[in-house]
Amino acid sequence: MIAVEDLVVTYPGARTNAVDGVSFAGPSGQITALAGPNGSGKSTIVRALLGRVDIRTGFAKVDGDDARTLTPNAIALKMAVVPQREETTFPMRVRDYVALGRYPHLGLWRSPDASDDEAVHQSLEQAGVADLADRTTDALSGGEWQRVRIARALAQRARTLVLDEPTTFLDVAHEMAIFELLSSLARGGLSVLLVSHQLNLLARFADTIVLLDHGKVALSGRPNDVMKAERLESIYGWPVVITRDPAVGAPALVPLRRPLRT
Amino acid sequence: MRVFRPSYWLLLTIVLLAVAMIAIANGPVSVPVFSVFDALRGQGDPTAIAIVRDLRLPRVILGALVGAGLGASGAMLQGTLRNPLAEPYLLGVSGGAAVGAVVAFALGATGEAAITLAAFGGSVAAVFVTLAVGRTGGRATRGDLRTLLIAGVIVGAFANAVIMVALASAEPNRIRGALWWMMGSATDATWSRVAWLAASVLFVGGAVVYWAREIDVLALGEDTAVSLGVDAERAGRRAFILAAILAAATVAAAGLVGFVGLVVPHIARAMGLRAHRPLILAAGLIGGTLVVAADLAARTLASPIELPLGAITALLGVPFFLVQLRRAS
Repeated sequence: MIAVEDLVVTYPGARTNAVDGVSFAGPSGQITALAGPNGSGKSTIVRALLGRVDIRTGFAKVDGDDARTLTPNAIALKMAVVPQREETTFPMRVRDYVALGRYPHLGLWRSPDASDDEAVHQSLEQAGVADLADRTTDALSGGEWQRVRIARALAQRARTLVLDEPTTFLDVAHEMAIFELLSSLARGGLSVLLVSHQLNLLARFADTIVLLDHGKVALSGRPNDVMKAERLESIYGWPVVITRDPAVGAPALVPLRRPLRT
Repeated sequence: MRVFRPSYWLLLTIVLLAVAMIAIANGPVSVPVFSVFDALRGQGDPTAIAIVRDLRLPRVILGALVGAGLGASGAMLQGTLRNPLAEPYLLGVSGGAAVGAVVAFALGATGEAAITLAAFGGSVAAVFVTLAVGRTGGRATRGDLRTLLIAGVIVGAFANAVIMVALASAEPNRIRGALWWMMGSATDATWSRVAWLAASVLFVGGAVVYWAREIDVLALGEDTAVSLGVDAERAGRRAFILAAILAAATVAAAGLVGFVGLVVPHIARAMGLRAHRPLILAAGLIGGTLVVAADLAARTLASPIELPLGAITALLGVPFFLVQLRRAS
């Protein structure tokens, strides 16, 4: 699990704090969602958990340990991250790509053994991409590629899974499939931290939503407590109404068209 | 994607040995292949023994080592920089080595050791200047390997200016030696030069192979590399320095032999290799074969005139690369 306590991060030269006193926890067996407008500090929190930014005050903890005291490899054993962007200059077989998730487990000579092969096999099955194992990464659709990336993160066998905008550019069916997969992974005991702009999906799948605004926690709690039209309107600066998902009753946000000027 | 079979290792080794044997047997004076084996053991015609053991064998081994070093260096850099067009000479290595060698020639240095050391010193200095230039953007550019690439191009351009000044002000009889060196040549292969390069290639190449697995992760981008436990900035810098030193050693030994570091990793990938440990090893074997073959062409195509090795590798490399580019698009 992860925990952020009174976290303050200021980038060099910036006048305001990128993250300004944020606290929340991402317990095991749950999906914790980080949402908020662009530039609200979501990705900076992920970077703090990876030990990649200078923390001014507060803590970013992974499995109870301060990320600043952990080596990059120790963090990778506890927390797997699927970043927003990834480069695929040199396409490779899906099986080999997923095997790179075992990198933090490899010994001095960095050669995989039978237990690594087994972990790769299980991760491919878990993410539902075992049938793609012998395809090359450049021959995958957007949805397949995202599932393969999740399989690579699962191969790390970490107890926390962090995903930064995993469904950008995906169509509805692939987007839903990814969220269902994440939901089943959380039910299996993983702590899932999900950074996403898809409020309606977060409202249906997340256990807790932490809504950030200008580096601070604007709203936090169960989806029903966070999906309040007035607060969302002021945070996003756009008129919205909240309705209900007819299937599961979760709150759903509808951004409104502004009245046409005549 | 083609699957790389274990038998390909045997194939690559046999091709390298076969090309090496043809290169030892052929030249202004041809030695029959069966006589080559005798000469290698010190038996038979004394002239053949002298040609094979003192002239051709060191030259062929030097060519193989130059190709191996450039191929491995190119494979490592392309992965680290996530750029299939990256090659060792883009990073200021060639410019720095050329400055060192040309200045040494211009100052009247003629000894083998002086030129080799000047070239190696020049290229290592250029690498560190490139690293320093790459860091001038502060924290924002420190970990950005693309900035290093641009810094290398800038250092290379500056080195060209220094070379032009040195050549313009040098005595005419000293310019030919400098120009010949800049065109690449294995002509002056001596056993001491071979031993020096072999030690460099084996030692630095061993380190390159050891850290190759890190390049697999770096090739996915900085964010992913960090999430997999790799200190991307440090790993990138280490890969850059190792690849540059490897290339610098080859340049110091045989001058500028272009296109090998660019083309050879593409051949290895076309054989189905992606993971950088086998990719770098295969690039070493393929690069060695290519340079030995190119050197054979350089000394036999227009015999008795010897063509510049760098020109032959470029003549072979450019069309190959254009074909690759067309297939990729």
